[in-house]
Amino acid sequence: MFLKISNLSKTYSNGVKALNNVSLEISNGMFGLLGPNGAGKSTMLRTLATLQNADSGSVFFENTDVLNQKEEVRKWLGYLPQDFGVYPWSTAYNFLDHLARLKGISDSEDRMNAVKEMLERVNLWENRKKKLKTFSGGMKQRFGIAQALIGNPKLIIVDEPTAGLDPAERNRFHNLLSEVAEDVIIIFSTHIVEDVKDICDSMAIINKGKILANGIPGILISEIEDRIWEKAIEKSELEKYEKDFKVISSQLKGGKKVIRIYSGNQPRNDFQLVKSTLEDVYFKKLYEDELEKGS
Amino acid sequence: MLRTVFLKELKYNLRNPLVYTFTLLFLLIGFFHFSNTNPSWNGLIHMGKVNRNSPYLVSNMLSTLSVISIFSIAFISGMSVLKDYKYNTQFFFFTTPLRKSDYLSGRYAGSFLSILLIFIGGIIGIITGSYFAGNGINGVYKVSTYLIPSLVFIIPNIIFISALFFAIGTLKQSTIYLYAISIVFVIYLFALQGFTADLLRNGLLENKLLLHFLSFIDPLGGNAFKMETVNWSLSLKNNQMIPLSFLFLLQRFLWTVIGILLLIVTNIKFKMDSESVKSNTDE
Repeated sequence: MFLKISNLSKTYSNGVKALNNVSLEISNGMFGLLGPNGAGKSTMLRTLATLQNADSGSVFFENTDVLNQKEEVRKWLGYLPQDFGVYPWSTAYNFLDHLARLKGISDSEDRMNAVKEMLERVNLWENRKKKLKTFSGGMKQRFGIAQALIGNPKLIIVDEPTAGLDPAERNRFHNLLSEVAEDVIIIFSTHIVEDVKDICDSMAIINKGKILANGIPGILISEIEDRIWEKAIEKSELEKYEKDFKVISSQLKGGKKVIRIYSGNQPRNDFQLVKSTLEDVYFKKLYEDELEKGS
Repeated sequence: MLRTVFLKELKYNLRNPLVYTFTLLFLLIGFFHFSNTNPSWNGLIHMGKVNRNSPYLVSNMLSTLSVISIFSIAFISGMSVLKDYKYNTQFFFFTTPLRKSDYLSGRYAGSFLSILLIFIGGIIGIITGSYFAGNGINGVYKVSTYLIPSLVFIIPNIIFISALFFAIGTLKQSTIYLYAISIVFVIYLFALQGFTADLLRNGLLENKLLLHFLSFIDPLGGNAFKMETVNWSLSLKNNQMIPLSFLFLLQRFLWTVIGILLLIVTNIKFKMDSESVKSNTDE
């Protein structure tokens, strides 16, 4: 399976350029769209999910023109919005059953099996008869995931799915997605680097509507290997270091600031070479992007 | 798909307190008016000595119930699509292969039938009430006494009122509009019908053009009916079928057509996408 996004652009009426000439090629498996809040992730996912039109560009899923053949796309689309609600009066079973019917599972026995299987997979089977208004945030999120996955979709789009999940739930969610990702395309957005590191086959970093990097997480990490240096400093020194070095990230550790610097050679002998991570890739790209914008 | 949406909406409404409260309310209003034999008692309509099972009184009652029904229809029809925006479930539906017209017509039909149920409650109240009133104040029972007034009042009125609020709720995506417009609508009808009644009481019947105008601008047909029957004697009120004159039927037809046009406009203007969601916060 193959999704080809070409030169996608979108500017909102308030002047915000949410997508700026985005081109991506995505094949089977998990694709992570990583970016800070306001980067354009949701705009891009809503566009792929047939909910929004682009100003220019094209999106093709196999031979289907996603931007113009919306009804066709919706036959095999699974979508989890970033922000959604549920019918408070309905039970998890009834609401999922209704959505499954609309997704085209018309045979009642097939539907019963599909709903049961999906509720079991997201660990809600025991709560199937409970009203959705009694659900916690995590349970609601799992319900959202269930409705996105039901009906064997070929293109699954999930917007910030791990927000509001506890670590155990997040883990279970990662496993669940990995299980189905083999024969389908799953695109999911997040601002959490670990989400991508743990499960994505490929990824893109997006900021202010532009793709800053795109590729396989391992390769992106290896590109900055032996170039990340670390040093613990006093909090008050941060500004000085930021002026002198390419500080891509800083983190509080035991009362001290630990800064990470991107550099081809050792910036000073009190800096220590550390193993590069996906986080470094992400922060370096954002750092460079900000620098470019600032200049 | 349409059937799925329709049945779900109907099921939802059958558990909606607004629906059964109004069904019960209409039943009781019908019953208490038509079982009361005291000629000087005035309820929502003046009953007097007229036969309780006359088309005249049944029409009067159905016309009045139509006005009261605005408050229930505003929320039953107005919320039928709006609830997806209110509960933020719209995108679940918009990303299924469900067609826009199926989504809208399924929801509308489900709410329409629920509203019909409320009026059936009213009719049952009217019939049982007149039975309780006894033979002294009743004529011969005929199906047409109830059927014809239902066809000229209930059906066109539900179509217009429900289409109006369906359009408002679906396109404006806000309950405030439903509250505001239902109140304005009812005040308008009271003012209009009160004004017309005064004119008729003062015998100002010469100005035909004004009277026709006043009939036509009452979307629920109350004024039109009043004009047709203003000079009726007690005997006519007791026995005569309501006058199905050309102008009266035209009035009923016109507002039905306006209702249907509102539905067509709703179908054209409505978009199953995220950009037309009013509270949408884009990033």
